[in-house]
Amino acid sequence: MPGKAVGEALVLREPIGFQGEIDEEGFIAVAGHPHAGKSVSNKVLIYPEAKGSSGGCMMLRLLAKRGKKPAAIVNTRNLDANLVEGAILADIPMLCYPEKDPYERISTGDMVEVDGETGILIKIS
Amino acid sequence: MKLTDQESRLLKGEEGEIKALAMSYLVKLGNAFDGKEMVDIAYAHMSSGSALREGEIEYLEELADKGATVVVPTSSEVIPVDLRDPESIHAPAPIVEEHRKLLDIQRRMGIASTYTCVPFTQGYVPAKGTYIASMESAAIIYFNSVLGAKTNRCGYFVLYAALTGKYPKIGYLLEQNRKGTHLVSLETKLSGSTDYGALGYHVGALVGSGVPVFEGIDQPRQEELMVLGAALATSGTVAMYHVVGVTPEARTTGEAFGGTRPQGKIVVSEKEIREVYRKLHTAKDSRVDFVFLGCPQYTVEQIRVAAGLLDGRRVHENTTLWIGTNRMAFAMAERMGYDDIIKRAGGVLVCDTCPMLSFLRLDSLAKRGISGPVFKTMLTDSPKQAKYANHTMGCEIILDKVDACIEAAVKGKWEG
Repeated sequence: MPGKAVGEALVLREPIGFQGEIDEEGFIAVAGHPHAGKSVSNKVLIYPEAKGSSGGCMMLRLLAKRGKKPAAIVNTRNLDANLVEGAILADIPMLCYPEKDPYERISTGDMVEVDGETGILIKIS
Repeated sequence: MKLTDQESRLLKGEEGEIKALAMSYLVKLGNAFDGKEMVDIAYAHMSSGSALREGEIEYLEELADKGATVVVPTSSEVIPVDLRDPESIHAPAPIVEEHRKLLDIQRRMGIASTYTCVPFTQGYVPAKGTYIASMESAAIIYFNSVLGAKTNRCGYFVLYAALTGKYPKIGYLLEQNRKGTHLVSLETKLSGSTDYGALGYHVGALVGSGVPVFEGIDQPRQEELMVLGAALATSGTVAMYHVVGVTPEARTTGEAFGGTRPQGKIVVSEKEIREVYRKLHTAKDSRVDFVFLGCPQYTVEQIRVAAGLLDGRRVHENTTLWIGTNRMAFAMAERMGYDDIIKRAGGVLVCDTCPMLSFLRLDSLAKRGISGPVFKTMLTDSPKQAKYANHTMGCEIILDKVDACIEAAVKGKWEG
């Protein structure tokens, strides 16, 4: 998905469901999740793939309406049509299958830049 | 993406601004997947634009006021309340009112107000090989895997597909993405739909967005496949599975894989099935104040079984029992006297809604200034409900089979 974004990375090693696992304010609402209580708002969310309910795209749309959407989404495994719908509706730059494994070089808290057009993901600091 | 002349006309607005907007979104989606063309769809199952998400019903109304109508048969998803008998579940009047309005909007747009997660039990049975656009992960997986109709994990864009009759040919509409990825050998005997759900929950977490191929499932019932699929799409992103000998595209294991090699092999024994029940069990207390059956919505046959277990008994005074279904199954349950049995026992046969999407959600309660949860401990026979209700309703959860659920509803206590 086209668009550029700069933001703080939030790196999840496991798939996440936007419907049911993230609340309407953008916080990860799964008890026991390694990032439970953290917000996806304005973050560059780096994660393997979406999972669960097909209400996920509506959740992205709602987060966008409330100004709580992620700055960008980097999907490292299979691309879910549902999530792409959400990214289009919410106007979120989205990147799929980045060339180098982002988990090796990017950690939560790093500042990163994403270009959804060229597919580039770089660490700024 | 290559568009036909008719599709280009739609995109250019020659058939109105609404279709042009819808088409522009569908083209964007197609381009994101490097889609080559659009297909005509035979059916759509869309979101009802729940009142729990602000602005959605208003948006549909705007479209209806401009004269927008769907151009393919279209059914619609579960809503947050029961419109048949809202009082039976103490549904808040303003949310009920909002959805009565929705009913009228949908009628004007030509959308069937089915309020269901299982439209294929209500006359919407798209044929094998046809392209469709469906949301609701439990329905999507059934369409692909049991009926052999082809749909992606659609969401909001079903609206745009229904308004134009088009969808980009991407994802699960392409033959190569429908082939098996993992071989699952079942080495235990499953008993009842909750066990099928446990199987799905276990495998979904392992295959993620893969396409599991099940060997060793013999003569499954419709309800068992419904629960299997719902669970696969809860712990994973599974949009399609093959049951060898059952799935139209899997007459043999070889056909299911279509000449590709399995990426992995999964063996499931009794131990893995039991483990799912344990994993989803978060309740510390054995007292249950809420028993919910019907995720996916119960069929007439499941209502018959539950009513049989309840007949002549009484639900405990501290426990609420809901059995979730839809208007069509309800009509038959009423005719057969099952609704009377359930009512006499103090249970409620609920239409249109489902706890995890209802006014009982923590976010819906918060909007009305109520600090939740309403129920402390939910006992359910569905892994999908177990997983989501834990987060969205704030309930502690117990997963067990229908007979144990009814026992607990009567005793107010789970004795599993």
